[in-house]
Amino acid sequence: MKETRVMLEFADDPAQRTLEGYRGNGGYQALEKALKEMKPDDVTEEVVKSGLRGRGGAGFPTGRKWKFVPKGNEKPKYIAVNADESEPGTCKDRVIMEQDPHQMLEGTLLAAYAVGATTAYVYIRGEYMECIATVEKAIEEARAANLVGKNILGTDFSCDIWVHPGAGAYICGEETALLTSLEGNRGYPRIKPPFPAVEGLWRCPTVVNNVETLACVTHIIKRGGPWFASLGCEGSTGTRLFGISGHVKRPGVYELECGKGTLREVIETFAGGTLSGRPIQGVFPGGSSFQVLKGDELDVRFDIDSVAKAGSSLGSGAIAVFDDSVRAVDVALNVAEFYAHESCGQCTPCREGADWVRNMLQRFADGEARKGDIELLMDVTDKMNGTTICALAVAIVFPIQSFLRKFRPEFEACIAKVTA
Amino acid sequence: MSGNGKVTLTIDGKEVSVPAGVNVIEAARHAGKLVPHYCYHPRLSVVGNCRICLVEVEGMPVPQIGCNTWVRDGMVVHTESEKVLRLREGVMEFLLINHPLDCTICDQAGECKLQDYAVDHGSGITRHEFEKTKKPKNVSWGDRVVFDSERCILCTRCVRFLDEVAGTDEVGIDQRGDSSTLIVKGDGKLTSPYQMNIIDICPVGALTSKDFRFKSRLWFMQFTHTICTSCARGCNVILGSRDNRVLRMVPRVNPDVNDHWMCDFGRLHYAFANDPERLAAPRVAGKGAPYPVAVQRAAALLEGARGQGILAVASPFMTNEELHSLKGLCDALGVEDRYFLKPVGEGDDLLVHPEKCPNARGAALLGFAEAPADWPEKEWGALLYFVPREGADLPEELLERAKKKVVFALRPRDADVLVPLTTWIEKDGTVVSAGDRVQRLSKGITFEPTLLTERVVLDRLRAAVDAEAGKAADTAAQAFTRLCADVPAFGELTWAKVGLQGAPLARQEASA
Repeated sequence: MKETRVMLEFADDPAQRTLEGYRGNGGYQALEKALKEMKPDDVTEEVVKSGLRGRGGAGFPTGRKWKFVPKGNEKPKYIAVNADESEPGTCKDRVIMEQDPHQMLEGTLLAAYAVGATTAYVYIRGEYMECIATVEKAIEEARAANLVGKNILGTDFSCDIWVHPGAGAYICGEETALLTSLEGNRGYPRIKPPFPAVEGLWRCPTVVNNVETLACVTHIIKRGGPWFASLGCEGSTGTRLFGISGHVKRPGVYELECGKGTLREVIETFAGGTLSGRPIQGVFPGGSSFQVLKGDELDVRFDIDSVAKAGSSLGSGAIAVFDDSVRAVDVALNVAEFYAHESCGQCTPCREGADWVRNMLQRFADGEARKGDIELLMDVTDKMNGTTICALAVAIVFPIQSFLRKFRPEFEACIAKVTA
Repeated sequence: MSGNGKVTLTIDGKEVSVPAGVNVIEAARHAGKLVPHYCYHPRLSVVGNCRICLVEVEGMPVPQIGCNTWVRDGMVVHTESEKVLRLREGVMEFLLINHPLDCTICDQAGECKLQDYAVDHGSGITRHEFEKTKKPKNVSWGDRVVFDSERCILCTRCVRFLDEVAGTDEVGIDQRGDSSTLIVKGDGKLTSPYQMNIIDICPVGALTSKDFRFKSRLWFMQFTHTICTSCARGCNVILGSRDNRVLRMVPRVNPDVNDHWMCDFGRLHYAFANDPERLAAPRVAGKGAPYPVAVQRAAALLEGARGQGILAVASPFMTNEELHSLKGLCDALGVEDRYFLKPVGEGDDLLVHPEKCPNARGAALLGFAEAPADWPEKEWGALLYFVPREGADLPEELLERAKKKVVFALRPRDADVLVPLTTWIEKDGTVVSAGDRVQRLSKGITFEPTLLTERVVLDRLRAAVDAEAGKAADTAAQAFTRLCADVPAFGELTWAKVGLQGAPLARQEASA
């Protein structure tokens, strides 16, 4: 198994960050091709043909999402680039923005052309100071070269792109909260329907796409949907950026074709296995908001559908590994702590339940849990499951319930012995 | 759609036809089912944050919130399935784990949705064994509202009301997760003249009224469905009293008048009803006198003044029935100069009307002219004067031009015969509100058991001066029936048609 570099092909070349360097490597040819040779619908069709699925975590087919944008609607349309990368362990959009920002901008312009948007906002995680700077600089350069702004490349197509830094809330990576935040309001997710493609930013049709998704679009238009679909495997076409972190020898971002091996092989081959050499106790295959896989469950093919079948998700491609030097109970507590801290507080079950779950896990970690606490935790998390506006509550339910099921003896060992 | 803008769906096995475009909560009402809800309010935007209105909709993989699920033909909804009840119990449990459970000292007790739904859907025990979150308590939001963050369930009804209805957008949310708390922007004091509506729509005891706080438990109070008389709008209200004292007013829903709201001024304007300085018995020549003596004396004065002319000045705070009786008396006495005083002030775009009285329209319909700025240069043998409750009075100079004075007033003042007025909450009757809508007042308290209403006094006066006068009406309803027969504008109306929601006058050239 080895890397297939499409998005990261020139990432190691510092010149790639500049417009000149990017163009030298064939940059903005896809845009020129689309604007001069393709109709907007052709662009969408090419993306449909590519089989591209969103890289933010949910894996929704990108072409289908674009098709939800109503036609003949007189309202302005928007593209919102979700660059709020905050799922624990995820660090791949950052690489694109810092090392090859123009491919994201080019993909954004292609998406705008396809759906008829005239303004795009790049909502970048506030902590990503360098990304904000490089993307802003890239936009400036592109604007100066008539690649962003009015009558791009002398055509009728106009689209401006603006950077909007976030202020550090995890919830703002949720697409509707991102839009609320962009509007200048408190970053609360909104009820769906209406979906953003119909009523998004300022109640206008809005496509929200992840950075990596848009970077893929650039290559799809440049080299064709069928070419992209020939990479990877059915259901997980193209290449994906995987950020491997945790107790591994070589943490980092790797560009891989899905389905070309097992999760264990990915961790062994690219990250070199555990740093300590100790056995892997568990892995989050796609960010901490999905179910944990135990060390003996890693022989699953790494593609969206296979990992889903194994009861977890490839999510945002953040593979987080922990060996047996830590207690599973502590890992679960760490996860719950993060989500309890990040719950926006809007929906009752998440606002009140998240901290309750955290407190109960703390009691396990302290070895002071009561008999029946495992059942209580299962019941409380059940009542948070699917009962809220956004998926943050589920991001507590999935991992915590998986820990309780898969590491039950470890949890039972934390129940205080009654001495009286 | 099953035609006529209706949609037919099945709720808990019962087929119902409801207006298209409503949500499942409203549709369930038609089926006689209450889907519990906190954040949903029919007049505010839907945010779907409380999650207690979860229902099951066949064909949907997960439970849906009733507030954001819009009816479709053929939809099958379950509001009481095992799963729904389990999730509701879950939401109740979540709501209560950090709630202080201080019902014993909370004004909301008795009209609290947390209490109601806890009884219906709560488990009765707590499984939460951790310290509750500590949040700000007893926070003053200005002169009228007190906020308790620990009781707050963050439904954001107050936030949305102030933004969407009052237009002041002055409350927001600070912090996040279970530390979330409401804050008033700027200096922390509310400014909206409609701010007290947030107390009514707060489903829990987080927002309480400084005016009403700790005055009475609800179950010791009496409630009267009446209207507010502070301006011509006639906002429908429920007036709460105890021991014959007015304690509070809250709006009563009437989509044709005030919808769900009322202004703070009207809500807080009732002290005059409880005023201990009020006149409690008639006075003749400055001395207390029983009604028969006062009526006899007044009748004699008015009879005696017939030849020299009588000036009758009605009050726009009188009911139509009182004005009708006054008209009858004026007719019997041959009174030519019939006027009423109309207090005016500022209005606004929402509810507040510039006419600061409830019944200027009724007075005009019954033949009284609005008092002129320049009174005719003449003198009268007698003045029959109903002093407006507030906002207007006759000039001193004019009072001097009447030889004798029969005055009806709330508070003691100079007159040959002085008769106490009753306030709007001490009698039944009707008024003509803005938009020419006839609305009903209802008796809620008895200020002083011996007080007679103006209608009764007027009818006795009439009997004293007019041998032809028939038997007076026994009740306001009867008096209204006679009025309708006598005054064409009231046309086909009946006491029952006016009901508690009011009815428009027959005449259509409505004045705003």
